[in-house]
Formats: sequence, structure tokens, C-alpha cells
Amino acid sequence: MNMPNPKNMPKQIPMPMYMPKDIKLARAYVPNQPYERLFPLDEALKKGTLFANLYQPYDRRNQ
Amino acid sequence: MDMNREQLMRRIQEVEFAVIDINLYLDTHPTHQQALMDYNKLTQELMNLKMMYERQYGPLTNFGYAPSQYPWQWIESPWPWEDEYTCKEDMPCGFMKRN
Repeated sequence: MNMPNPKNMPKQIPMPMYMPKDIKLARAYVPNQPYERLFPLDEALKKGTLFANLYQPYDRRNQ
Repeated sequence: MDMNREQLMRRIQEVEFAVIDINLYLDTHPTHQQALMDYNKLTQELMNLKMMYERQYGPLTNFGYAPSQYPWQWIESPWPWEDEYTCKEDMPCGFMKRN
């Protein structure tokens, strides 16, 4: 059933539908982080993380 | 390869940052062998770098980690806030070199 999206609500966060059927409700889930795509150490220090997967700078352009 | 004081300090910061980040990864993935091998490799490099730095420029930590030459070196400057460094590329990194 598609929840109505009141105007002031931000655009709805897409609900991934591939959740396992027996997934427990009211629980938070964190996907497993793979150990890959490590930055070179000088870049990691500047970017604030060793893992490219976690690098998410705030982008001012598309607010 | 010999590095001047700044380059050596910078290298220590880079390696230490990576060691911290892998430590955090290992906290949630304690059985990940590659991560643990990388952690041990970098920790060894970090200890060597710090020893090299301290032999030439004095202790990085005032007690518990390194013996001091005579006279007592801890009170010698430059203190971290006295030194300023510039990043080569455009990315400012919180340091400015006095030129």
C-alpha cells in the first residue's frame, strides 16, 4: 500500500523492497562494510577516511 | 630515505590516521585477516617512524614512550602550535607554512 506523501514531507526515502521476508520490525540494520577501495594514506588523511566507500562530503551545489 | 622534520611528521600523521581507521574497522570485523595484517604492518611502520623522529627531534609524548637525551628535551620547541605547514595541493589541511 502506497503511503500518501503530504506536501511538506521531504521526498520519500526509497524503501528498498529486497528486505528478507522474516526481517524483524523496529530494528536498525547496518549493512556489512567490505574491506576494499582504500585510499592512499596521504589522501586518506585529507579526506578524513581510509575507505572510499565511506567518503561522503557535503555537496553544497545540489541542496 | 631521509625526510626533513615536517615530512617525517606528516608521514607519522598519515600512517597514524590509517592505523586508527583500520582499528575502527577491526572493532566491527575482528576476524578480517587482511585488515589485521594491514594494521600490524602499518603499526610497525608507525613505531619505526616515531622512533626515527624522536631520535632526531626529541620525544613526541612527554612521558612513558621514549627516553630523552641530555639535557631534558621535552621543553624544547617547536611546539605543535608553533609550527605551521602548507599542503602542496590546493586542499588546505589546517596547517600554514610561515614563508
